[in-house]
Amino acid sequence: MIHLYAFVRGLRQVEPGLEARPLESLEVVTGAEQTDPLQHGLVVERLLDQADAVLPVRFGERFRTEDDLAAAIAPRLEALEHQLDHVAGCVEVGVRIVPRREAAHADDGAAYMRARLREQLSTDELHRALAAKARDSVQTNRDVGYLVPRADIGAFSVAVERLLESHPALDVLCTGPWAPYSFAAAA
Amino acid sequence: MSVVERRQSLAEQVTLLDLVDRVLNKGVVVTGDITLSVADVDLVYVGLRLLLASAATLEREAAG
Amino acid sequence: MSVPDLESRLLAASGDVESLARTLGDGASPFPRRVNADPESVERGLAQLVLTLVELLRQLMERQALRRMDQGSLDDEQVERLGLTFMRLAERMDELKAEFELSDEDLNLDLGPLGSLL
Repeated sequence: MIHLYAFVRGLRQVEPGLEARPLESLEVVTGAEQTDPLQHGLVVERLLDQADAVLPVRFGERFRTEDDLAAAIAPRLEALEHQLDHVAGCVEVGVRIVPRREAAHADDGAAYMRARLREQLSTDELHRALAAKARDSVQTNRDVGYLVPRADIGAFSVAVERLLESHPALDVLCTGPWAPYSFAAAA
Repeated sequence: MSVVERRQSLAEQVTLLDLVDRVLNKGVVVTGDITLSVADVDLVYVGLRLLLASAATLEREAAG
Repeated sequence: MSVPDLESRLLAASGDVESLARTLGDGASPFPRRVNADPESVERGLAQLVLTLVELLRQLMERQALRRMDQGSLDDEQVERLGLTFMRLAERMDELKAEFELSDEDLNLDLGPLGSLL
């Protein structure tokens, strides 16, 4: 079984155990069967330091033969190339905001709605402020992923910390840098 | 465990969970079919996708 | 990169970090695109599906109501009624989830190309 890890550009080194097959303007990074999602994730994160652009593939993409792999990729190739252009030189910072359950125990309907609205507006404001500092942002479930050029990571982290201070009513979790998983949605 | 060690191990747990969450739920989907199966028999697919695509459209329209 | 290096990737957190961490779930099955309802838990599998759809609709409706409230197109009585209804719905959802032993993450079906549901 061929296990698919990521699509990359400008790969400078191929670590033992991996293969990089060139395809048009990109390279397809594969390896032997991989049953551990954590190991898959660690391989992709290492690729971030080894290539100019990395588009992570979801865990579980496996193919019996090279032909199967090529056939599956072919219809998406153009989209993949555009996506690689988009994420080149960037990493992802993830921000997860979890609504507090306090609103659920409000005294009456109007109080509930006011609390929920405050929460919603605060959340929207936080996301707007961060989106303005990133190349792009995308929401997956409760997580918002921000696409940030590598050089700007430090400044972005500082901005997040400041915004958390000014939005004390929100529970926020911010992690990164990661390979740009959220910007690799199916074409 | 000291306060520093405990905080470090919580950070490690959180980022580990985040990474595994990313790997399983995000990233390029090449093969991309969803199936619901009961007793290893694949049943509902297209119908459910259309239903959910409609729900997603509803939300976009509501936001517009 | 070794696993210990990961801890440096927690950039910031506010509020209850431990409960935030719990929302990340346990990673569940390696093949999330397949929702398996084995014969012993068909009922639970169906509950998962139904509750997920109900939760989706609840979130859509609540979000739209909040938008209209923000725009000022709801009168006080409507706001009160909507608020009570959403509160009750949320409580009922919690009860049903507990009954079927489903967590928030369980209700977040992965739909492949459509992304995740909630």
